[in-house]
Amino acid sequence: MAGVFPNLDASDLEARVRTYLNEATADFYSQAEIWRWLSLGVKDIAQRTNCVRRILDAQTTASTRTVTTNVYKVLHVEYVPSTGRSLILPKISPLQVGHKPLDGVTPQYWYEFGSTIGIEPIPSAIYSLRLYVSDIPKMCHSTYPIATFSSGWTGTGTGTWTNGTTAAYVGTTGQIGINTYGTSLAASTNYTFTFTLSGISNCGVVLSAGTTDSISITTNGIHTVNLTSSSGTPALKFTATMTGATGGVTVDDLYILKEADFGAVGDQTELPTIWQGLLALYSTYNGLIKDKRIAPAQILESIYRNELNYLKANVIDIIPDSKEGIR
Amino acid sequence: MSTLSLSGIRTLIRSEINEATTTSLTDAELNSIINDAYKDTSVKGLCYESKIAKTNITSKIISLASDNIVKINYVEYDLGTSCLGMIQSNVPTIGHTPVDGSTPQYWFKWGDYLIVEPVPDVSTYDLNLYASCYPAAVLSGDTDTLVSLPIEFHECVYLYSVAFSCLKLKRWGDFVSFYNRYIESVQSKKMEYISKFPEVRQQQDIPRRTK
Repeated sequence: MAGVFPNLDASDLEARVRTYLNEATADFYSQAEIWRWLSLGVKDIAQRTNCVRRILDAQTTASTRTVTTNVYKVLHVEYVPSTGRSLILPKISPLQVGHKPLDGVTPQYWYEFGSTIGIEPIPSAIYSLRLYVSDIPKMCHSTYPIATFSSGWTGTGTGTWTNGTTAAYVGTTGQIGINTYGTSLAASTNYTFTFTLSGISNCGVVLSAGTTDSISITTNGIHTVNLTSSSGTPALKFTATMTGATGGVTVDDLYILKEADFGAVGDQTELPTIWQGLLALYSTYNGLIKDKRIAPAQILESIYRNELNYLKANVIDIIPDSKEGIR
Repeated sequence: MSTLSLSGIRTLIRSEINEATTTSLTDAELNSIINDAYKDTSVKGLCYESKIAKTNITSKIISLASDNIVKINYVEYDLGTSCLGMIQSNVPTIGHTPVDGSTPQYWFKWGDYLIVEPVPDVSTYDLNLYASCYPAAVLSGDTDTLVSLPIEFHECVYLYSVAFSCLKLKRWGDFVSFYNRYIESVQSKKMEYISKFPEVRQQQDIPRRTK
């Protein structure tokens, strides 16, 4: 088992498909063919079960109703005020805009339309949001996570980036420090980046995939952003901008995910482990169809679909407790 | 049946498919299938129950990426000398549920994250997660046993393994038969041994009438 248990990488999955199809080495079924079925299976599972769930950082733009998204579906929107308790916004339809009672100027309702969400009322300023989304499944970076910044990272600009187990920035008023990863990203590709900030003080952090920038993040904790890298040889970099007197930030545990098909034996999908075994079933029934064995293919397809429904209901969907449950 | 080891399960499968020595199915192939069965049983049975301590938490979003969790069943707020069971809520309730003080009272899981509400007004806090997990380690040595699963679930691993071995042999009917036996077995054992049903007060009373 080449992938890190309990996960299955491309070679593990191909080996299982070849076992089930009784073709140990490529002959009737090529490796490229099996990888293509596996890649289709990843998307099929993610779309049918909404199982790739993330919490994305986002923010509004002053005087602009919409916030752009790049996911399968936004399921919930949380307004995060600078102080006090955050609040999930009720979802409305565009028909209801202007008809709902409003209390103040902060975000109170949202709707989804195309690749944007609309905020009601039109934001008067920059407000922080968290988007609870079902996302496009991606492939794990070869180092997943990047748990140390001691090699491959170079600090430039003003202030000081110190790269070790973590990447720590210290600066003073007006300074801007850039920490760049030596390995370029793929051009014009969808990425998801997750990282943890701590000790943030008088500082805003922007993550860039080439010339595509994330929002400026100014709070501690876990943050996730979706970015489409720019063309050419886009560099991955953190830019820390000081907004007050002496301060800084520490970056820890960077998870990089890239939208890609299976293309190498070590490729590891981010699809949660429970779904990975079903990829072999999905690919096997496609293989049986190629072999014109329609009846057994339908048996496997039926089992695959039932497994998706069963696992979605039992593991993915949230079934809240009742208040009676604690009595 | 005595404790099943990796080689023991292989022997059982070879007996069931009437192939005593390696001909159609290699030991490596059977090992892969058995490990898949090990994982699948833990997922469908939710039967590898593990209490995971999360300490020194500083925010409301907690990463579970390295905890190998299939599902979180219960969460308790650990106060050191006592604990408080928290209610599983859902995303739409954030900010809308009444809270009593500033101790963590609600939780839900979203992807690889646990979200807690409200965040306590202390610098760090501790939680205990009652979770169902994936098996702790792959089975690779012949004497390795299914240590992560309760013993009553071991036969489920064998049934799954026979089913998927039949796929390679193109014995489709046998595959369906063993797969159905596996599903029935793992679901009934989950209900019998894993699902938690607190007793209600009336159960302590002598019934008024029995037929």
